[in-house]
Amino acid sequence: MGSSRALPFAAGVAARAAVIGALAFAALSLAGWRHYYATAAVLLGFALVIALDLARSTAAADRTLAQFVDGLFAEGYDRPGRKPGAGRLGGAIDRALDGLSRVRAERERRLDYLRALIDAVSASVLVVSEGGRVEFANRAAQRRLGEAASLGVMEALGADAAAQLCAAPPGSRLMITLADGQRALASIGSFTSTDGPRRLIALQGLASDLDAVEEAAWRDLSRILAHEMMNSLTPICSLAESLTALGPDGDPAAMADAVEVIGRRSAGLMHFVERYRRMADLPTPAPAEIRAAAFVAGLGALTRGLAADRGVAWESTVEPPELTFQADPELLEQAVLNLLKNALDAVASKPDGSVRLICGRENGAAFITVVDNGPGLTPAQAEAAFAPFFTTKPDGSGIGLSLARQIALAHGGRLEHLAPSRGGAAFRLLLPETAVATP
Amino acid sequence: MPPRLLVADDDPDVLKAAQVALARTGATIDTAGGPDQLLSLVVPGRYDAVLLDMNFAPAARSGDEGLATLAALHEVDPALSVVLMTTWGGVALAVEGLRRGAANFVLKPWRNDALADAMTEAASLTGRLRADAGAVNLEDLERRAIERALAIYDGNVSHAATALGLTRPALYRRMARHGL
Repeated sequence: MGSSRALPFAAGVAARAAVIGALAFAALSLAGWRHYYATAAVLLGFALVIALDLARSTAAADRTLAQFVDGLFAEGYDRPGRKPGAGRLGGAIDRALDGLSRVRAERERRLDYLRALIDAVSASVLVVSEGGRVEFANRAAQRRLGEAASLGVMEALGADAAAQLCAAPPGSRLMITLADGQRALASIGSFTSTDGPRRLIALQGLASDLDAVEEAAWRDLSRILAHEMMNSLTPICSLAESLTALGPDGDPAAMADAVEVIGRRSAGLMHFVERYRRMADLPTPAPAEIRAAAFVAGLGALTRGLAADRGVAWESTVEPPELTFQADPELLEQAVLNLLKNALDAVASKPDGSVRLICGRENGAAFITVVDNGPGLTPAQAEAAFAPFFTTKPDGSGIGLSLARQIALAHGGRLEHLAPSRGGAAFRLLLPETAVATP
Repeated sequence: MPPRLLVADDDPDVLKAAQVALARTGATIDTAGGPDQLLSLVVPGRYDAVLLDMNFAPAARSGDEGLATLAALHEVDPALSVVLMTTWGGVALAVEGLRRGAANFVLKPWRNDALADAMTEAASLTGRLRADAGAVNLEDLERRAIERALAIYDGNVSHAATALGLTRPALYRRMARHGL
């Protein structure tokens, strides 16, 4: 577009307009003299050419602006057909676009970061439209939905679960059972997108955490079983072998002795396996509504006498007093009694021994904590405390705590050891949030 | 002289079984029910081998007690061979025990033959180590005697040699060997 490009755009337009005016004026003036028709025509021609150039350059500016405006909304605008730095308008557009692409790149980076973040969480996150169509699913949710993720349908979670998730009021939390039988805690949120209201669903598979705990428990159990059985089998195997080697000529007293040991240890093994079976055959909890105050009073009646016999102070609190929750009363009582028995044993040799039971609510979940002021657990003991057959008592079976944990797990809750800052030991049995009827 | 063995386990039936199983090696066998009793019995040179369980406390499975007792035994009697007993699955622990100076290990439940072989071998290892240790000690004694003689005679080699019953060149040769 010639050298006028170097001039400011307005100056170029003004100069062209002046030249067109001058040429038109000269052509019209010359048109008066008939000998100058040809010259007037040539001048008009020049004026026309410059006018066309003016129109074209205005159109180019217009086009550049249009491209710029289009570029604001289109991804990857790369200034087609224009060299950078051409004219003031061009410069301004270049700067605006540079700024824009920086903002856009920053926004992309933040989006990538948030996408990575939301993909990294173990919970499944879904955005669902009013019609129940999945519009977004993070990686965990895509795994859960499987092939259905690309179709945008929730049915892969199970028809019941999908219906529950769509019907639950925003802000609520509910426990659902997924198509594969897994239980999950769902949190429902809502927001309004440009296309209308949307439902934000977060699913946290509960089974996965519990599975890990249970798997660890089973691994411990098999190791302990092997250990205990091999220990008992050692004298049995060795003495049986010795008896065989001695033959009929052995010392009858020594042989009788060996047979006695073999018989006793075999019976011990059977007893051991019996105890194991008692724990493995835990009945499925039959939940019923439990009034915490009455439940704790019942435990108190059983414990008070035992505590008094041993000179141990006993105390129990229920807060709030009207607390109720769902659990199997018999199993729960068995679990808590085991904790109380451990606590009483722990303070047995203390002159100022005390055992406290605290029943309460935390973050919507009911808990029962048994605290004693005994010697407490060493870190190694705390780690092993829940393992089946672990015991620190000479005549302990190592079943109580393990059974209590099995009961907690069977309720969808857990049993944990807390190390109180004032010493002693505390075990807290936590029931799931869903076990508490109304917050 | 028959070897003298010491067996340590918290399970009295295991002690009894080990005693019966090891009786045919001809060894004299003492037993201990725990680390304390074990260490009270051991004086340098009394036993030829120890059979040591890795765990003593009820339900203990870490093997820490066994390893600690192993270290304590070697403190008292460095040449004493220790055979560790561990249950199936405790092989990693047994290897750690070997690394820390145990002579061998047997898995529970053991085969009587294997146990007897392990203990006989351990006892003869103790014997070899004690013979070597004796040799080392003679060297040490000689060196200390020369040092003391030289100190008494203020470094006068002739007087020291006379006191030690050696010729001067013989003492010089021994001094050179001990780097004196």
